[in-house]
Amino acid sequence: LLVHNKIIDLFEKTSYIIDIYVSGMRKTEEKQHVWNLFDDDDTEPVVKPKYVKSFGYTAYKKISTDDENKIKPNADKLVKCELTGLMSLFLSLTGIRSAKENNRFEDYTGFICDNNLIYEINNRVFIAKSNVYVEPKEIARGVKLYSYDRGLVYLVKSTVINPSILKENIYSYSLRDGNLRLCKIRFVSR
Amino acid sequence: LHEKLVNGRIVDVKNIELFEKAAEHIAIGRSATNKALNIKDADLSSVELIVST
Repeated sequence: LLVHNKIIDLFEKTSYIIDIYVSGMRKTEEKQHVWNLFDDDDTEPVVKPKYVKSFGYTAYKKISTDDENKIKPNADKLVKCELTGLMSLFLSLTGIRSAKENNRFEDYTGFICDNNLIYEINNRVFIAKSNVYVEPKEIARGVKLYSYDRGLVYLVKSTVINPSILKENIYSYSLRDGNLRLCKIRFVSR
Repeated sequence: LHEKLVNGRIVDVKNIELFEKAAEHIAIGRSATNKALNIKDADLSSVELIVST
């Protein structure tokens, strides 16, 4: 179901990736003070405007080759695509990078079902729409995406209870009414 | 109770904390037993709640 740094469309059996690139530098309202360490004089710092990178992205689609009867040469090559909802993922990734002042983007994973786009970044699960842009809604934090079945998104929260045992609480999130329910508590070897 | 939890069968949970604690004790016991006998068993115990879909 879940693939590292890919969004899987569960019904169309396709996967999407987004390539994020620096599209320019943007001047911010913030100022930064710069001292010249090689200057002999005890001069005042120079105040300069702070610039930050701005980003853009390109989305690519890859068709699954699971159904061998439908395979055509080059059919599963990456192709550029327009999937409006991926803007939500892009904005989440850039927002988290900016908030954490990281030099890299966090990894993501997720899937699309019935025009719902569900994705996880750094143990935070978001929901948006795949066909239109909506502001992503964070539905849970401190969990990982686990599975999907008939309108229920399953999430898992892992806790180490001793060096050899991991406790996993599995929750379901209903896409229909937004209810979050505890489904299972299990203990597994680490 | 032990068999139900260990086998991961669905239980009608009124007081989930009780089952959770029991499952944790079973997991600790099974983990120690597995270690002593050198058994590799990932699933130690679980409690399932009935979820209507």
